Amino acid sequence: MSSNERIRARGISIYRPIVYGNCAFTLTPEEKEKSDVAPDHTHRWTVAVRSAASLPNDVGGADDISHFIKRVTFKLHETYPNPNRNIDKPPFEVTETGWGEFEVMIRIVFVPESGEKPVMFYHHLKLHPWSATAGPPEPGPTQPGGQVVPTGPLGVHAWQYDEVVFNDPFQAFLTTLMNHPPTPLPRIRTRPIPAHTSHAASLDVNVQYPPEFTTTMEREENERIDDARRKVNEEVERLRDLVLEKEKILARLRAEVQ
Amino acid sequence: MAASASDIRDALSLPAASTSATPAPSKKFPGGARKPEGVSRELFSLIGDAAPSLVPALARPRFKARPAMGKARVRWELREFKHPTRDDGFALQHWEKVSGKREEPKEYPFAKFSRPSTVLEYTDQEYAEWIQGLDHGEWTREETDYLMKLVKEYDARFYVIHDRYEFLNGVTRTIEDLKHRYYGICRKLLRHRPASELGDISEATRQELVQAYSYDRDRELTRKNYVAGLLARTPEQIAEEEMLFLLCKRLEQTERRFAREREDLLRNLAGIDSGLPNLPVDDEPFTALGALPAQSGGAPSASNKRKRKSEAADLDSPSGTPPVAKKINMARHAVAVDDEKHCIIRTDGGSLTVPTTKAAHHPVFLRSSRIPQPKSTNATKIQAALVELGINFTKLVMPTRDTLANLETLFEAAGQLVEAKRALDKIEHEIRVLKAKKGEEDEAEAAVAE
Repeated sequence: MSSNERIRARGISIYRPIVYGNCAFTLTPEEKEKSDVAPDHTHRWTVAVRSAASLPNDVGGADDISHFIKRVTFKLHETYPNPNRNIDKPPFEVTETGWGEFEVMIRIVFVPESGEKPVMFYHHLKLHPWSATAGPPEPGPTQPGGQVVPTGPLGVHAWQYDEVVFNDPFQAFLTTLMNHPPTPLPRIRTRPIPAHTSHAASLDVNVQYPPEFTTTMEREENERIDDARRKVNEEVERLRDLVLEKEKILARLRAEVQ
Repeated sequence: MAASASDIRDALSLPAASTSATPAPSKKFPGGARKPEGVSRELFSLIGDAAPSLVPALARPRFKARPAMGKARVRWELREFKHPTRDDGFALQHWEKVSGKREEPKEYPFAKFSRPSTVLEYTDQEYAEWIQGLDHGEWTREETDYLMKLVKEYDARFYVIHDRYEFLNGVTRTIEDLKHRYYGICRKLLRHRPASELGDISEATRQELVQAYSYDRDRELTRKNYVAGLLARTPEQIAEEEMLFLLCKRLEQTERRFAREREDLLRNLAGIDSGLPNLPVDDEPFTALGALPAQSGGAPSASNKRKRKSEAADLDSPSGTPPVAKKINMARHAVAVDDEKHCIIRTDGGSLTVPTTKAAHHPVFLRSSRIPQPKSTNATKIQAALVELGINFTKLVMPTRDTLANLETLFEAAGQLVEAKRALDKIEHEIRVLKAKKGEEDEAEAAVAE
């Protein structure tokens, strides 16, 4: 009865945190020797969609997400053979070699019992290390032949946290989701935070470990937004005071002119 | 004007034509064209053969010819006639048409509708075996025979039979009694007579025949009483009934909604389950107590719970007891913890408004796709204002429900900022205008003073 396919649990919104992004490593000379690597490729990268909670030595991936994700499609640049890579079972990731950064189109197809349409989004593949002054990456692929900055042994990571939100799920699907509760994100930060363009302080070049998403990050973001709001409100106050003063002057002038 | 042949002759003073030249009706046109029916004479002379098509002619209604009446004289005569199925020689009279020829009196044309009734007859043995055992009240053999005779005579028309029923010992039988006895006998005999007598019928057909004689005396009595009562209603009663009926219909329509609202109200205000049956419940609608991880939820949720508890206790004191409220709060707490674990957010779903059973289902989305944008009217200005202050939030590091809500408030504040700036600009502009004006006046005064 409660697992009837047609019944939706109204008033319920259930979300699952995921991360998506890539890590990239420069190719060592011996790797370049291998036959399947074209001569102008400089990096090996892996683009993936994983759960937000992290395994000890990698970004994300602590939970299995195949109970609600059926398939992930990565659409790579046209110059790759078979640019549409469909991954039907976990781990949902594609590893390739290349030389340039481009937009990867990621489409997530959900399990049929969810009755949901696929969602689609983009991720800019990052190969070159972050720098403190770097703004958002330019759209479009990078040009080959530039100076290759070595990534270091732990590679370059570019990940984005996101949440997949299901509204009014079917009862059966809800039960499936409840059977796989997500591992909560750690409260304290043991590993460096992931770099993000919105957060200049995170673009620290020297990361020692693969980064990790934590709840403190969310709290900090909230605090940042609160700070911004406070600043805005202060500015509003200042302007309002100015307006009041000017109104007085205006009234005085008007009286004089009459 | 149309000219006829004679008119032309007159005009040209020609001698009268010979009879062979002109046919008898002198109104023939030269050229022999006869005006078509749907066209008036003048029109035809104007446009000649290019008359409109037959449609007008056809559009005119064709009436039937008037029937020829009153030509013949018919005489009618009152005559006696005999009905062949009557055996008592009773002759009635009816009017018959009298025609010239004398013919054999026809057979009464309605005689063919008089079909003989199929009547049940039983032998003494059958009576003793089956019918005597029937419990229909006090029915003697003679009375039963009398009833059968009457049924046969009056062709099972029970109103007539009842009227004519005069058995010797004066016992009065109602129609229902008579019917009950008669049909009871029929059923019993039908069931128990050997098949060979009734012909080759199957069990199913026998069942059908038995069904045909089913009669429920009590039900018939109540039905007749009910119908009589219906007939005997006064107008006030009828009006009242109609009003009640409408009320009932209206209530039925809104019953479901009322029940749900009642349940919600009772639960929200009094913290009790109303125990109303037939509630359309799929899942407990529930305002979120706090779905955030405990870091920020600790203090507010505790105070929430306390507030709810006191509220529930206040309303409960006339009816319930505090332990009930406490238990409910514990249940709520457990649900809240569970929700946090599964990342479930429960929305009220508008329970006190009209429930939309086919509510639009919002499809799945990525949280980052729902990052709020500043309002379109001031969008550019807001963005510019935020950039001035060094704030940039096009992409969030951790897009969660709370960060998005927070961002929304930020944009609202930015909107206020933009408006404040606008007001400031306006006032400064006015000041400048007035100052300029004042400057002119001062100059003018100075010029005049010199």
